Amino acid sequence: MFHYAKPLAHLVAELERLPGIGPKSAQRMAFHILRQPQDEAKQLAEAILTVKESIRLCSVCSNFTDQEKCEICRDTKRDPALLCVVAETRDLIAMEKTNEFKGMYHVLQGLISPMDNIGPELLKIRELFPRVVDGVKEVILALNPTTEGQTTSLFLASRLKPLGVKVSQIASGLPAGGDLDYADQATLISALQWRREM
Amino acid sequence: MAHYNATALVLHRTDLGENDRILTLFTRERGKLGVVAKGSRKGTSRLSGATELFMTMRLQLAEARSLDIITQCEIVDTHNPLRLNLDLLARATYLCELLDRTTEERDTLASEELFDLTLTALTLLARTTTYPDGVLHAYELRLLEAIGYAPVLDHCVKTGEPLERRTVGFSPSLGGTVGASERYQVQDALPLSQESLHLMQTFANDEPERLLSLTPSPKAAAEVAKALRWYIRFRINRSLRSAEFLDQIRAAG
Ligand SMILES: [Zn+2]
Repeated sequence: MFHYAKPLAHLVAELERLPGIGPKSAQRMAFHILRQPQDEAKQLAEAILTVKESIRLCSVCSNFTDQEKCEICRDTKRDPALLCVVAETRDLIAMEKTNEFKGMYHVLQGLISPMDNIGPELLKIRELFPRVVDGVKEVILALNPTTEGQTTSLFLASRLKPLGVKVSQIASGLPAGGDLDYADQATLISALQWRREM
Repeated sequence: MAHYNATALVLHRTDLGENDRILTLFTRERGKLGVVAKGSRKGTSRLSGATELFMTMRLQLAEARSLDIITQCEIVDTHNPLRLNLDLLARATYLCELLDRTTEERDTLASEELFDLTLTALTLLARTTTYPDGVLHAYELRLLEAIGYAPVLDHCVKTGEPLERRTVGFSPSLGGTVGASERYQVQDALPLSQESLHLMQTFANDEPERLLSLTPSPKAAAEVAKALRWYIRFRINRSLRSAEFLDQIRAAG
């Protein structure tokens, strides 16, 4: 039986460890890299190393940054009385793309999932409280509408409310432009639950 | 591909690639099953909301080589009230983990009984006001009974004698109550006052509706919680992760 040469097999194995990459895609990517010009492949390798060396968590909000404080935390035009809590940096990016929210963020770096052994102590929750005490008027919880997201939201609300701050949760319901008839049952039930008076 | 129907409860889920999820289901018909919910990670999928913990559904599944695949799904109960309250949500999560850890895949021996028991517990949990742990402990004892691990609660497991009318012992390793005169000789015996013992017997035997009106003393509630925690830990040889989270919430409550 024919096997890939060792360095190639090694690359395929490393690529396979990436999320969402199966054996077939890993092989396709490995052969693509193999055919790339030397400097292009080098740029990829360097980008991976640089990201590992230079990216760290913002000392204020736990967002990924290449400086002590992230760009958002350095921005003096944003409203420090509004604090939006998200699970991941990619959720922060999604919120930013709306151009609607001008407050600050706090990135938890995950969600509570007791069965998967992810308790509150593993997330950036402890770091949240000193910020809230320091002049925040409203905390907006923008976490996934999943059981893990809901567990985390309820946990945070129970810890934040005693501090006298307003705590709100983003609504979950029907997708914009969606057809009521096509919505799944769970979404409809949630939309009904989050209905508001007109 | 052969298809079959099942009534199922979601016990756990993990992401699979970009679009799919693997669910651990407990079905009334076939016991615990690992299945694939294709497309359920996409918000636009009809399956996306159905793959949440303790969703109860009627499903059509297609048999496949490794994990069967969900082909149709209708939600029977979202158990939404449980998702609005941290005390209830943490307890419901614990129920699911306990069922997951105490059952084997495709073991149908007690699957109907266990399914109905779990559904009853989740429904009752949503209705509790003062003592949600009552539902939890009744569930623990009845689940243990269904899988053949019911602890003895009406006589001394060492001597076979009836229990005295004072504080007795509860030994996880011996499998139940030990008499008041024996309890200091048994290494792992935990104390059970008369009130605690009656509470345990109520959990094991009384009508489920009775659970909603129980208001035990804090001391009895704590003794029963401890006895059952150690008994389950002894029986399944590990501690449950969701039990630790529940402890954190209880401590803050
Ligand atoms: Zn920052």
